[in-house]
Amino acid sequence: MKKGMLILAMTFTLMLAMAQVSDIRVPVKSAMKFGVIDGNEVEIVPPIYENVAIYSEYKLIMLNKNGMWGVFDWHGKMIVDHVISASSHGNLDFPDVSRVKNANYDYGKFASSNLLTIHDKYANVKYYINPNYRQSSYKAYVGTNQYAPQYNLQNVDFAQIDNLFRVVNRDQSITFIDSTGVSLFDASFEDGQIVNPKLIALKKEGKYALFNDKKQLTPFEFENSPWLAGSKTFYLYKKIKKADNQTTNRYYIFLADGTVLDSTSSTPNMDNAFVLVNYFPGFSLYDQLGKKLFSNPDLTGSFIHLGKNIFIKTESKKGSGLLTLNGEEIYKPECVVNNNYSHRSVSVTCGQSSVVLDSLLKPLFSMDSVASLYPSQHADWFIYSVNKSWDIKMGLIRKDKKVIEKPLWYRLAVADCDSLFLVELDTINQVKKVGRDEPLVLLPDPWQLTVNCKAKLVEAFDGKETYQLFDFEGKLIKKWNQKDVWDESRYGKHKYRVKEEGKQFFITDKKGVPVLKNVFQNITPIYDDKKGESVYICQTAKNTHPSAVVYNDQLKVITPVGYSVPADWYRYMDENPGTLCVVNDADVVKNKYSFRFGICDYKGKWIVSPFVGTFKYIEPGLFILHYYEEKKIKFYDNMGNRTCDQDFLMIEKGNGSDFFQNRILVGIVKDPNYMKKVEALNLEKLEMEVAVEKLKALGEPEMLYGFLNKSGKMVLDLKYRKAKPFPMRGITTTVAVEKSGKVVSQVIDTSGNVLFEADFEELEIIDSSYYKVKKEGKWALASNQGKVLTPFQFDEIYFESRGKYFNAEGGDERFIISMDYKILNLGKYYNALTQKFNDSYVVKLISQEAGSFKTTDKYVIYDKDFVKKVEILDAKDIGGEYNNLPLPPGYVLVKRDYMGKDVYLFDVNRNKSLWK
Amino acid sequence: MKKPFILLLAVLLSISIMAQERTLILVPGKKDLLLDTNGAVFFELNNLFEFINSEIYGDDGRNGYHRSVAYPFNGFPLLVKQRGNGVFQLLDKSGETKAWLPRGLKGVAVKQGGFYLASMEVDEKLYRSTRFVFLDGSGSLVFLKEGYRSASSFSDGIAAVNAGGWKFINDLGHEVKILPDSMKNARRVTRFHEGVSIVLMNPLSKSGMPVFRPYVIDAKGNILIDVSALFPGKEIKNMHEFKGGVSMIEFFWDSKLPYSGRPIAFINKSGKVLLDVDHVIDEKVGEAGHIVLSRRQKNGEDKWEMYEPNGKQIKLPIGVSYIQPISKKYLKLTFNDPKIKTKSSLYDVQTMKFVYETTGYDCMGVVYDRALLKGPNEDVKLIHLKTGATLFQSSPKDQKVYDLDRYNGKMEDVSIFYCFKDVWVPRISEMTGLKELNLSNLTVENIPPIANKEKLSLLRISNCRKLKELDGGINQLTKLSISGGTSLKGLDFFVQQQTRLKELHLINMDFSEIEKTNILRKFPKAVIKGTAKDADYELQEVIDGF
Repeated sequence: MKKGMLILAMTFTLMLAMAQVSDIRVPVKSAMKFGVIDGNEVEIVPPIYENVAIYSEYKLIMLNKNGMWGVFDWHGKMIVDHVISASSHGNLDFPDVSRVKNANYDYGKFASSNLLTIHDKYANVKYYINPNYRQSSYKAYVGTNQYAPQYNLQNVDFAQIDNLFRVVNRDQSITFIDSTGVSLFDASFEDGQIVNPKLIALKKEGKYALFNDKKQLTPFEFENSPWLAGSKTFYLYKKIKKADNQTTNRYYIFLADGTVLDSTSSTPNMDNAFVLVNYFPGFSLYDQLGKKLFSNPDLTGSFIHLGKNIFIKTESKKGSGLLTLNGEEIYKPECVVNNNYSHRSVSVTCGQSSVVLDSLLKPLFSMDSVASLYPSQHADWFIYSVNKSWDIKMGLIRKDKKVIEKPLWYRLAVADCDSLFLVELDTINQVKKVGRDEPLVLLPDPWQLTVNCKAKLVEAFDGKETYQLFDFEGKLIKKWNQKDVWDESRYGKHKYRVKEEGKQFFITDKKGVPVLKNVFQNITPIYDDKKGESVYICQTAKNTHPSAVVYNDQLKVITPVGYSVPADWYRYMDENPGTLCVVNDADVVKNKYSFRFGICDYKGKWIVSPFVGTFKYIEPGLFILHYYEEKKIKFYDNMGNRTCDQDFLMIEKGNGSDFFQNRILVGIVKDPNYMKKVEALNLEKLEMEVAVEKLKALGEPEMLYGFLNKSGKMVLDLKYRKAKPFPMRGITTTVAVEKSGKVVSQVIDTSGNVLFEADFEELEIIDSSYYKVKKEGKWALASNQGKVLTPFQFDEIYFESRGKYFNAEGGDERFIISMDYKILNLGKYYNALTQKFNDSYVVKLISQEAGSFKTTDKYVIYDKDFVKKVEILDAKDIGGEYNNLPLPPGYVLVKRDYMGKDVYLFDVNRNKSLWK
Repeated sequence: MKKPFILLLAVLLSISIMAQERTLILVPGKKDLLLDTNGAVFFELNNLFEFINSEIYGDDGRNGYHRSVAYPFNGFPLLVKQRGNGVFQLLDKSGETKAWLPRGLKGVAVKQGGFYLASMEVDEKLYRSTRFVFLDGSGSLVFLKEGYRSASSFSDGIAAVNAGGWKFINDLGHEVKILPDSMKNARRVTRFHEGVSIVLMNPLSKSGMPVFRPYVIDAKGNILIDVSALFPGKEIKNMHEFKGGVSMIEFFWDSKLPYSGRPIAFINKSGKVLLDVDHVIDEKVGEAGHIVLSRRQKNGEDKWEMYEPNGKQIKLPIGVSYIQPISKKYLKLTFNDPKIKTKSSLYDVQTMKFVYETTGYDCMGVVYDRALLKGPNEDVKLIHLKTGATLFQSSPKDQKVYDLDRYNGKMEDVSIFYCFKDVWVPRISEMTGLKELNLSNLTVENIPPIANKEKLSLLRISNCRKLKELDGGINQLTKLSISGGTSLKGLDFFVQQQTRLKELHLINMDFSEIEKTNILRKFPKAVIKGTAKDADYELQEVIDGF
């Protein structure tokens, strides 16, 4: 019995495997013609075509005959004849095939049907096909998809619209097809909008009609495309002629099945969950399923949204009131109800009493003897108004009923900061501060005042071109006009402008008149915002020194005597406006690699006295200077002060143009005597090669590393024996520290917190999941928890993130490490280039002939379990795609030339070429 | 099996397109209009654009100047061109841009058979040439993207194209085997029109002139007529498409003889020669196949003749001086006989009966018995020829008033006025909305004050030799051109006070050096040319302002 079961199970497994391979399609070639076979080598398409493209994802085959592509199903049956030109399809020379998005809405997220589109770019037409439902013929629709649901229909649930697709006929009219590619209508339309999986609104001669699938529900009589609120109900309106020949609009509210719920003469109030229909007088409230919740025979209603809560504002001839959605009356329609949208509150004034209610209709504040009451930007202040003879005047009151500002103003608005408010009366505009009688800013019309809380400024604009800025004490900070702003954005804030004529540069005044006779090869102006002054770096020469002269706003040369700014340093000089890096001209003329360097201000005063060396890096607010003679790196701020007392031997930037994560890696030699030994070598006097040899002989010094921030302050002390700079992305790096005489590796964050520590000599992060770790000079693969996954046998390990495996080297041997840490020793080779595709490792093994630079190579293919399948000796390259479409597992394309013209398809499992 | 299916599909598609087509009436103007046949405005175009309703012509491929009044409407979008540049766009129903056609097109023909035929200039390295491309209804470039050397528009679902050899293509851009291989090197192949295409072969000619040997072929590629065989010994210069079953053939003539008209023949689609005549000065074939021609008589006078499509002569009314077939049904006859009061009228082409008098108007076209007439002041009206009713009349505000005597609108509605009669001058003061004023050949010394000076932006004065002064309050001109204003005083001051002037032409007048310097200082781009003497000699046509 057990044996029988086993045989049955084996048979089933075998059948399943055969079924799987029979579902594979492989291109074959015979006598220069292409066909298709399945994984069992059964012919699907005879080899009579000029080219083939197999879309396994869509189970679709394209075959080219006489330069025309035809579309065929997975069994080789024709879907679209050979009518698609191979021209105009770019390098690939075959049409685009893609799955059609639901509703054919290109920007939609969903594509849940099996409808495919074949885009013939030559004729700019699309064929819509479903390989599972072949039709006798397919119409060509326009290739440019133009479906953008109208604004109010963009919230249609397109996940559900998988059997209704809007397509454009070649005459630009609109029609719809289903997921089998069959047209729903014989006629075509001016527009078509999808409402839900069943309902469409179609437009003909300017009017819309509603259709349920193919069935027409209404005549073509509606003026608008459906206005959908929430998920279910929507409205359409039509124009109706009255007896006096005037027209009036009639709005019809439809349910999701296309039946009319109600109709009215005004736009219905629609909400995600409710519909309110006014009859004038009277109204009804429905839910989105069309259930009537209640009606009122006398009043007019509209929704008031207060946060998540909804109420109904009612209106009668006497005034407005408030109802709950159950129809319960909170205020009779004899008051004035106003929704304070931005405050999520409502103001209700009945007679002379006003109250501000929160979103639960709980009173926040109330007053008697007022005309109105509103909340303000300040939670505890309220704006009230009183009737004064013919006018209504506004004032400000605190929640404890203490009047802040008497009701004297036509307009009053509270700013969102610093107890400020704006008031207006006739031609006077003021900004006032609570508790201060005098206004901060007072300007007449037409000046408009705005409080900018973020910038802590009061902005004034005269409505034309003049602006004024006041601080919160009312002090005028700045006054300017628009032209100045435009000029500033175009020319900068400089006193003078730079004018270019041909390749000659001049310093000119604002009218363009030169203020200096000199002509320069280039001019870079730099503005110091702090002091409000500029310098102009004027290039005078290209290949000789001095190459630039620097003028200030008084047109005086400002660099110290004997010193100048090299012209090509202009690009560094705007990092720290107010400072200039200068070099000693005589030194540079003598030796352009060793000269005195200093930093001065725009008056020519030294802020860093000259020394032999130069800058290593300049960052905003920071100079990192290299003192050649002292062999030290020092950090200064832009005032010339040391940011850090420590001197350093080295600094490392990392791979990039920035000090990532605001951390600068610096290092010193642990043993001060090492430097003395170096000094004793007198390296400056030696030839370069000799100096290197001498240094090597001293041996690699033990180092101590630390990190500074970009202000030049030490943030992680000099305590690391090894360290790498922080990367651009990620806030961790690897370091090593000495513990109890032993070097241990750590992963630290930018604050120096140890995230991981293990007893390895060295550690490097491969990716977020893996480290490589070193012991006794050899690397192993480890998890990010420090678990060692392979022996310590490798000189290098690389992660191949695309193929998901590791390449490794050890001695002369090459290895592949799988994701389950199995190791394949490829042997001793000069190089091994690996790829992984179609479940196979394809390895190019390169050997170097002894005593020669000549190399020979061969390809070896291993399966996913590292079982060697085949060796191919005649390949220049091997790929996993044909016609840029992936081949099924077990098949590769062998290229016998580098151009990819002499190719054949190889069946790895059967170890044979399929192309004759 | 495949080809018939494609052809059937193409035919069905063209039928469905034709079924949707209706003809509107194009009214050109400051704002182009499309009218329906009731005269109601169907679409008013933004004044930045103009409708394209013309073919593209010849090897150059630019749009023809003449825009047909009959506007075939087969749904939106509408093809328009930005005025003043070569940017073509498609507009939707609301006037919004639905698509920009590819940049750099020289011309785009009105959509035919679902495609726009367009031309573009291409760089052939050593020279520039014109290529023809097709755009589909969405404005996308289709078929051969680099363009054809020559191409016809689509008709009956196919178009003739030359991509190094002539062929017909279907609406997927694929060749439809019609043209015999022997005709692939033709000089020109026309579209299929009235069921036939004309293939103009280019045999070697004795005279070295570009002589054609035309063949008329059917949709299967069968040669129906070898046209040259009908006219042995004659050299064919051109053959035109059949209209109403009649085609016109032009021949070369002996240019050594004094000119007294050209030899022209007309044939029908059966290859019958309907007419083969000499001394033809003007000739036309109407949409219904009627032949109209003017022949030079022995006495040197030109005489008009007209024939039915079968070649039978039609008797014409007395005094006809010009004949213009306007539509399939109507002819415009012009009379130049002082005894006849009527100067122009529309006649029924079948019955040759009078239909409607158009004296004083130019009939721009007739669509479904509706005639669009343009008056002397660029005023247009649409007349129902059966009822005589005026279905549409352009607003006086849109008119350019060239002839004040025949202007029926209010004076305050005149915005552009061309004044060349002294008696009209006093009425300028009534024109409160005047924006452009053109004064020419007047003998008055003064013009009355302009009512709303700030509205006047263009003033053009030409050969008003006695005019002494201009209204000093005019200071908002953007364009000023004065030619031969030799009596004008204070022109320097008048020019100086202009605040918005962009173009200034002062032609054939005397200025002192100071005046000239003052003017040029304020308007460095001013054109000042000629002297008062030049005005006497009337040299101003050489440098005549704008």
